[in-house]
This record gives sequence, structure tokens and C-alpha cells, in this order.
Amino acid sequence: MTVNHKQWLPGLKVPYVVALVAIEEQHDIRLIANIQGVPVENVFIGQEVEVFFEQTADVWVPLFRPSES
Amino acid sequence: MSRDYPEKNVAITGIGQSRISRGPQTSSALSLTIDAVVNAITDAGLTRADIDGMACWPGDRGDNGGMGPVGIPQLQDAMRIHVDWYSNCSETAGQFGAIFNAIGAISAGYCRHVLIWRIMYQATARKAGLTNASFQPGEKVEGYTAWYSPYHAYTAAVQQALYFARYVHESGIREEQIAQIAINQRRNASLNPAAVYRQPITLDDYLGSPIISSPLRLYDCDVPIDGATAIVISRLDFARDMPNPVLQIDAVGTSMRYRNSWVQLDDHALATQAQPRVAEMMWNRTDLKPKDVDVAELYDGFSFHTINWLESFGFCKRNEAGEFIGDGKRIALEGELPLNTNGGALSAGRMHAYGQVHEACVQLWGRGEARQVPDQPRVAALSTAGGPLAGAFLLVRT
Repeated sequence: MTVNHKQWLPGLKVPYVVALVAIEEQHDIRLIANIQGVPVENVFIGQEVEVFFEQTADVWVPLFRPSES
Repeated sequence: MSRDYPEKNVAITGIGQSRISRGPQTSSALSLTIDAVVNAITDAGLTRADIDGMACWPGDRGDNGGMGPVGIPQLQDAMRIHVDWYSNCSETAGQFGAIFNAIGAISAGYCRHVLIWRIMYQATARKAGLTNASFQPGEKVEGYTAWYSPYHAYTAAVQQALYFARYVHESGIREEQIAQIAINQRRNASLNPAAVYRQPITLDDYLGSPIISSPLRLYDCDVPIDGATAIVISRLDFARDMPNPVLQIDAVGTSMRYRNSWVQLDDHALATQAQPRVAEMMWNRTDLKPKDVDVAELYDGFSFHTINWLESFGFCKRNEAGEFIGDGKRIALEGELPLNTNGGALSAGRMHAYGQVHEACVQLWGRGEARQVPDQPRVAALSTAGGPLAGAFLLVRT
């Protein structure tokens, strides 16, 4: 995972976390995604996360947040 | 050890560069390319009429981004070079693919002297606002970038930072050790009149520089430039009768024995990416060992690539590059393994390791002047690329 600080596009909110998320059901498949809902300094390698979806037009984008359990 | 690997029958016989700058400028990309290739052909003691092969990476991308602004047809037409073989190929073992293909072509008897170049026009393209134009908020993105764009992970810095963070996690390398890559290269650049950034930097400067995407700081990232580098490679028997001392290509690493993806890397490759297998292939084709290398010109799109290559080439053990680099003395010009002696892409400009090729020849030919490595180096290790791409070779002054 990385904490990005650079504003690559106008209006882009930084910092944000980009992570490779391994899927519990198949460890060697990974999604690149943002980890949200938690301050960036509270995200760490090995953390368990759960998926949620954000709708933009007809696209549902998978995002992740730390697991509740 | 077999001596009949075809790369050993090929030598680099001439080098040339255009002016390298941060732009913007009035010289066209084609004009810069011509400057570099004319210098290389002249340096080899040849004329256009002697060149019978051409190769480049990645060819004309046609996207105004400056990554591949000049392809073979444009240069061939501008220079009226008549060749028996030509090739550009972007799906290959990193940017050195042009060199590897040319070795094959010479070995197959298609040609004797191949002109190879890399042109970058990214400084001017960026100042013209042409890059990143494909990533507009709200617009749908097709192709593989569709997996990155929603997460603002469209830049190489972010994608690569994921893996570098993993490396930091596994190796425990410290910031002040990482910093020595940038500091050493800036010191070398201060002795290189052609480098774009020549003001030395300190550890405090490094630690005070902005974080781009952790663990990458500004000084860990290479510098987009306008400029071209060209080389001539020739069949060894011709090289022996040419003006420059023979620089034989001793071994190449060109493999793809891993998943070639920016995301779906094998578990063990999360911290190493493609480099180890490519280096392994290279060492399997030579009697030389890491201890025989006198100068290392290793890809530094990001400083972590260089760190990875130090380990992958076997200059130190896996996860021990931090200790190997230490306070930087070992990788300095006077050190045990002088590293990126022209300033590398971090300080001399992003040339996708063709700057490294040029510099390896400079050092092996003893032309380094203020930055010349002492005791006439004989063996150079070269590498390019990161992520799922990698290529490597050894160059030897015979």
C-alpha cells in the first residue's frame, strides 16, 4: 500500500491510500483499490478490509475499508 | 561455460547524445534525434552509408506525450539511411529490447552495423499540457487503465510505490539509506556538464523533500526531459577495425519467467518485481561474477528500482541493499561499486536507461573526465525497467 500525497489532477483530494487487496477466496488475485473510511495513517500492510461500492453513473466502483469484525 | 552465445559476437562501437534539457524548446523531437544519431555514427567512425540496420524503443506512439515521438520511418526518411533490417518493438524485455533485437539481427546476418536510439520529448509535452490529458474526471476509461483510474493510481509513481512500500516492509531499509541513491547521483551529476540537475543535495534536503506517494519522495523520482541518446552496435569482427576500443556485449538477460502484470505479480515478486529472473538469465550466460563488475549503470526510474537491481544482480543479498548502500561511500565514484556515474535518470534526465548505456561506454572508454571512475573500469553491468518489465546486460572492454 502507498499513501499518495501528490495532487495529480486539479481538485484531487490528497492524501489518499492506494492498496493491493488480496481476495480471501483466492489469495493470488489482487485488486488495486482505495482504502477509505479511516485516516491514512491508520492503514497498514496486512490489514483486513471489506468491500463497499460507490456508484458513478452505471458503474459501481469497489472500494475497501477496514473490517468491522 | 559456452562461449557461443550470439551477444558475445556484438559490440557497441559508437555513442551520441543530443542536448538534454528540461524544455520547452524550439528544437523538434526529430531534430534532437538526428543530433544524437549523427554523433553516434561519427563516434563509431562510420557514415550513414555504413548503417544497415535500425532499431528503437518504443517507436512512434503518436500520442503527443513525448514518450515515443519519433519512429523508424521518420528518422529513416529524414536521414535517408538505407537498411537491410529494422525493428521497433515495445512489448519486450524493457527498453533494451531494441538492443536485444539488434543482437539477433546481426547474429542472423541481416546487418552489420545497427543504429539504435531513444528519444524523449516529455519535458516539452508536459509544459504543453498534453500528458495526463487522457485522465479527465468523470470520463470513462477503457483498457487496462480502467483498473487504475477510478483509484487515482494512473501514474507510474503510485503503481510502483505499492511495491516499494512492500520492499521497505520486508527489508527494513531505512530512509537515510534510500537517500544515498539520490545524493550519490546528484554528486555525480555535479561533475557531468550534460546533466540537468547539478546542485548537490544533502540528507536533510532529501528528508525535507515532499512525499509523492509513500515511500517515494521527490528526489526518488527521475526527471522528464527532452533529449535523445543513440548508439551503434556492430558485429565483433568489424568492431575490431573501428576507432573505439572494443566493448563486447558479454551476456544479456531478456526473460519473462513471471506474470507480466502491474498488479497480479506472484507472491514472491511483490517486493522484487521482474528483476531477479532476468539477472539470473544474464549470469547464466557468462563466466563473469558480480565481483568482476567495475561500474554499475542501473535503471533508476525510481531510486527503488536501482536498489532492487543491486540485490537482483547479486551485488548484495536480498533485502540487504540498505546495509550495502550504507552511507553511500561504496557506491560513490571512488567506491567499490561506482553507481550511475553520470547522475542517472534522477539527475541527468529520464532516458529509460539509454543514459546508462551511454555512460557505461563513456566510463569503459575512459572519457569520463571529472567523473571518470579510477583504474580504468573494464566491466559494466547495465539494467533497465521495473515493474513487470526488465532487461539487463554486461558490457566488457576486451
